[in-house]
Amino acid sequence: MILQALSNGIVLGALFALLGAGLTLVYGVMDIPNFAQAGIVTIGAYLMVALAQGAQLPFFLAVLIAVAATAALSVATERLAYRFVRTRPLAAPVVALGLLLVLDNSALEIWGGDHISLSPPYAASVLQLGPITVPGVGVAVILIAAAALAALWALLRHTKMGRAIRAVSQNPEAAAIIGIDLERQYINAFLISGVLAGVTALAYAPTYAVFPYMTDSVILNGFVAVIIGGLGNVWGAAIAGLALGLVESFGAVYLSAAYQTLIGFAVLLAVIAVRPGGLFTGGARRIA
Amino acid sequence: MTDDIQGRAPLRRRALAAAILASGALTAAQPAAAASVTIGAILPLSGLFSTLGPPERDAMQMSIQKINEAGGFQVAGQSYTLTLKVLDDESNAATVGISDYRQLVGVDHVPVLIMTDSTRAYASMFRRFPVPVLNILDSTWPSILDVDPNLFLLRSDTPAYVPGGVWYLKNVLHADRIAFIGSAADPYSGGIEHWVQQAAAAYGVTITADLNYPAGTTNFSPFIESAMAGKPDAIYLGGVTQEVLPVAKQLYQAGIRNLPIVHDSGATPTQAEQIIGPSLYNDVMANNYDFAGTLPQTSTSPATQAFYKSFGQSYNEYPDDLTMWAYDAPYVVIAAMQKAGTVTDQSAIYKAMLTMPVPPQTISGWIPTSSGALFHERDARTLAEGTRWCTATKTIAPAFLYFLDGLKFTHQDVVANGCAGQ
Repeated sequence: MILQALSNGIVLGALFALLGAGLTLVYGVMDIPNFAQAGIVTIGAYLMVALAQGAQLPFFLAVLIAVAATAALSVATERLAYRFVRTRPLAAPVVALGLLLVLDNSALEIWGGDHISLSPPYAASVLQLGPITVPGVGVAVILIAAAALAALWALLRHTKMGRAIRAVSQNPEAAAIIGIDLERQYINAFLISGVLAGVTALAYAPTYAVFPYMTDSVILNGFVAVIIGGLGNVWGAAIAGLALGLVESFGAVYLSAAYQTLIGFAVLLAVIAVRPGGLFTGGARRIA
Repeated sequence: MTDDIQGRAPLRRRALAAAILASGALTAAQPAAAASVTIGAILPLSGLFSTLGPPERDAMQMSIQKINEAGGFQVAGQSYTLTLKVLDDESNAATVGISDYRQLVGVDHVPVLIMTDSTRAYASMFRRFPVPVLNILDSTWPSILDVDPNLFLLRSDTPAYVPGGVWYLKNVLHADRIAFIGSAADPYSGGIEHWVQQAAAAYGVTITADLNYPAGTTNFSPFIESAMAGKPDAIYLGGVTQEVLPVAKQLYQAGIRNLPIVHDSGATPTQAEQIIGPSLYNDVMANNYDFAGTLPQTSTSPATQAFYKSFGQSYNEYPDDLTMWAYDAPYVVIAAMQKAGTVTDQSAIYKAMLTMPVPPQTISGWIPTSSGALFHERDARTLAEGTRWCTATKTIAPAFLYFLDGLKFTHQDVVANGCAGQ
């Protein structure tokens, strides 16, 4: 029971970590709670279904095209909407929610309200480790999240683009003085966030079903991870996401499965009461 | 001059009279045009529940076209054709649906209204603008028939079929211990849970776990884990198709592949393929048993089979049970008007509905009351049917046909090898 709860918690936590990393990256650079990320994940999932099961493209080619599309869509949200509220922090959440409604309802208009399935080649696989059973789609969530977060770490740590994003996140004025193009870094942050949205669609959609509002509830857990991890802290969000998944999974088994989500929000309230800035902030906001 | 006028005047009058007579003769030579009666329907044609509305609309239009092409219908010696005015509630009963109701009943004064879901949201409108309402789908418990006396239900209510699933588990599949997983946010699931509990107590089945997941749940792992901790012989899933099939899929993905999975969703093979996925659905559905009203696909009635094929050819999708009930709804309206002798008096039509017989043109296979009435206390009931999945043909077959009086069976027919007939 404990080991099974542990494995379920890791799957759940990996998903929250993936969601949290994409959200906090944008928040770190632009101070925007990007609710529209949920809509982009949904559009990505629909594109994968349309390309792999409709157009009959090879599954992983369909995934690549869909991820490129979510990256472009994410950049489009920055170019067409967010950049106009960059200096108006109170307007940003409203624009973000408005974008989410537009994206969700666009999906509803294009693909209808039916639940449909995204079936990757590993959909029927099961990993049996002694008494623990992990569905193939759960294993995929863990592997996809680990690979995406490792790539994000390498990008932020070892590339010029990553260093520029981190600089803008820590002090935009100083970054501009030393010649970093702020506009470009905003676009880059949305580009990476869009790639993470596509990757999240690949991880998340096969576990349940694809429908217009599929990400709207689970994205809240991503925000919980962002706040617990410290706003704008990518690794804080990833660790907090993983911890949140474990807490929810054990809470579901030892308290009540019906209160699984509530347990996550209770943890959030407790963290805010003790450390209002989150668990992994050292004072200054940063992406690292 | 006067004479002239008087003399010309009779000529004019004669000419006019001749013209009138001629036009009268022309009119008499043509059949009198039938008046049109417009009934209303509120359906989710767009939005989240848009999977329900369009086939229901199409089925009603199909029967109305058939009726009108055959010359319409007669009420109190007068010929009529039928017209259906459908308004889209956009899957939002509380706002758009209420506005639709006000338009159809308060402004258009339709004599009968047809609805499908979210009936409780209209409770205040039923009181303000009463009208006989035929509901095609809303089989929840407590019954929607308690909401307003003007409501009629065209399908069997939850208690008429859920106990059959529990009985079948115990007596045919020999499952003595079942775990229930349902949706806390769905009243349909809540009704199923209640009747599973009642039936389990009556038939000697132990419920090892009774779990309800909250709204928005997409990861059912903890519920599956808790359900399996009690070592059940079978899993009973509460909810509609879009709730039940994802849980069935996650049960399969969690390695639970040999337990019977029972539900009351009325899921069609097309829905199973769409929701579970083309590569997986045949394996996931292999141990599924579904207990609801009779389905057009498995009906042995030639008329129902003809409808099944005709609808499939016309709309490129095969009809489910609620599409069949929708097809029959216009026939029920016409029969009520004929019995009432009026196409406009809502009160008389309502009274006629209470005692009207089963219209002979209908295909749903409704079973009348002992006095021959269609509605059993405003509920039109059919035989209940349990179906099982046939992996060889990737479709469903009858497993159990039954009719319940409370928790006692008045008809029982276990179909031993239904898949062989596919």
